[in-house]
Amino acid sequence: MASLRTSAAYRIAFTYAAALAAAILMLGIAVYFAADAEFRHQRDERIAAELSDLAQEQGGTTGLSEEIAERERGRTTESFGYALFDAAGRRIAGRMDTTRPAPGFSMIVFRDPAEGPDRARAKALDLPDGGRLVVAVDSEAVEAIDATILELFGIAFAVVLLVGLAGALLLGRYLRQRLGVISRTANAIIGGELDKRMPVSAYGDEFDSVALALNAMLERIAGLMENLRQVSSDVAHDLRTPLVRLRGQLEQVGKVDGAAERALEQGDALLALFGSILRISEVEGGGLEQSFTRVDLSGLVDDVGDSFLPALSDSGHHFEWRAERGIAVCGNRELLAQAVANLLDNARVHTPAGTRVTLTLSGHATKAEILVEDDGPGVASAELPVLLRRFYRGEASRTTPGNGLGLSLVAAVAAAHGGAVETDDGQPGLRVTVTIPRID
Amino acid sequence: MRILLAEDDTEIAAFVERGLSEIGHTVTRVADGEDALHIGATESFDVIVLDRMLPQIEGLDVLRRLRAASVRTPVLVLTAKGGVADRVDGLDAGADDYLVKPFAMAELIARLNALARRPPINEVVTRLEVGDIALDVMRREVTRAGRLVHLQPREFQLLELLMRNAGKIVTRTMFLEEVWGFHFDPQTNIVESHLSRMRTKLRDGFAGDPVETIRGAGYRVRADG
Repeated sequence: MASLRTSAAYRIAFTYAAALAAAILMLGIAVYFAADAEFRHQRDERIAAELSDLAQEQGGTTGLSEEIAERERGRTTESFGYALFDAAGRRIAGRMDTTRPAPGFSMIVFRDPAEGPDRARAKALDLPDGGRLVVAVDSEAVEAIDATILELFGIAFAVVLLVGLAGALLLGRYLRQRLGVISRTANAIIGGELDKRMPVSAYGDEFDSVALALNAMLERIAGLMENLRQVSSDVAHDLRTPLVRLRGQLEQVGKVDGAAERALEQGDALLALFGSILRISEVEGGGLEQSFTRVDLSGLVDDVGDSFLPALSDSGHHFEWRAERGIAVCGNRELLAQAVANLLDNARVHTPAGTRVTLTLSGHATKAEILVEDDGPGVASAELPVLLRRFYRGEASRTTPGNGLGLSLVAAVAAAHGGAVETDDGQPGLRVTVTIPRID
Repeated sequence: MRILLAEDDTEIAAFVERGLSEIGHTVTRVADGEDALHIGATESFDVIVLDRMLPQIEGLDVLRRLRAASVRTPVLVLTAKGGVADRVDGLDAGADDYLVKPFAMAELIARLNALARRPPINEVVTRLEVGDIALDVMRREVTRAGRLVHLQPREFQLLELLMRNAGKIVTRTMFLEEVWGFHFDPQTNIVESHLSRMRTKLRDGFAGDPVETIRGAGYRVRADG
């Protein structure tokens, strides 16, 4: 049971059991003393009443002696003891065998014919003729009640202690079990079972909220690890081709005209590719929330729309934009601008001249919706779900410029803002919808 | 101009120094943060080029200490870190411009020219005149040879940036940063399309284009118009 000392669960349970027992103990002590004092007080009052009642008796010593004998014979429930002393201190009436006590209340010892010397509570009163009347009650009664109270509380204390201990053990075991599941799962994850998750019970209690929070944390970490793995594999696969091309062009420098310029362009393209990958990693990696401020999305869409209008008309596209007024989100202005710019870049690059391209910002109850649609050749429906994937380039766009990262960045920016991206068949053309939670 | 170049990579430092010396600048090269801080604080330069990752003392620390020592020389921070947060850190430390590696030599030269001899911040220029073109910043009006030219707001901003840097080259990324506030380069050449509209309006009815295209570098308004 060494674990009893190191287990917080048991320690907490035992502490509570001990606190409960201490409370019972204190209650017992209080009840004991209060009851004892009350019983003694009542007894003294009864003695005083009996004594003054007797003292009223007329008829002198003889009358009083007869009354005492009368009361001794007829004593019922209350066992008073009586003694009457004359002025010389001799007992002249009453059966209680004791020496003459001082006037007022006192503890006396009398000889019980059956039990020998016994203690009693007595009150003595001096009579006008010089005699002294004594009324007493055996102390046994109060002591017996005190003993009963003590006994009852002793039993209650023992029961509470036992029930508390049993409860503490059960509670401790329960807490250890619930926590044990979490720590066993964590150990399994440490051991390499990375897809394990904390079990969540049906109670929905504190342990479940901890488990849910841990699971959310594990999902986030898994997402980041997947991201890292993805970047490594992207670097391995998709950077090799441009590097091979660059190498080829460098070999031709000095032999073929313009090879140096092409190599330089190829190098720039490679660096832009690196930049895009790093930017996506930065956005997906999180932590950008610190840079988030209130962004006037209506103004931003106007700004980007206005910026792209000349270039899109130069390339022969029919471009229009509409931005509903007063739509704001909490985010990073530059990233949001880059996301909208990427959507328009895509529309321009992947559709022929004469295509209609529209950018629309509309506000819904809780979200802002940025829609970019075109009536160009569109994307095969089988390709729609994978458009957002990194380095994905549609079959039809193998020969157009670009690196297949534009929409990935849009998706990363949307996710970083708590939003999402959807791609649909615009029949004809492509529709890309970005939704972001809006603020007032 | 006198330029302090703090860069620990000898290849890059040599290439930058050659590029700047070729066009007549005097370059003092240091390879670590301690030297950069010492020389930057004791000698006088027109502009300082500071790499962010320097041995001994980190680039941004050098910058903070220079600023704390009241060195007001314009500083361009060179960095391999192009993240959103990184740039904010650089500007917070007191950088006047921030250039992400790798960069074209033409880009660096254009930015250094723009930085050096920049009018003090408290000097408000409300009217710019180059050749026969006059630009009134307050009234948002452009005239050429006294005749009003109607420019869109963004075209006005492009011309203003060119005229403030008259005689110097303004690169595409400088336009994107200054006029659009974009620290990324869209695939679509939005600068070129806006510039060409502005130039058409400025040329309309006049002989000669006041804006020159410098191939592989950027655009320029000749100081003499």
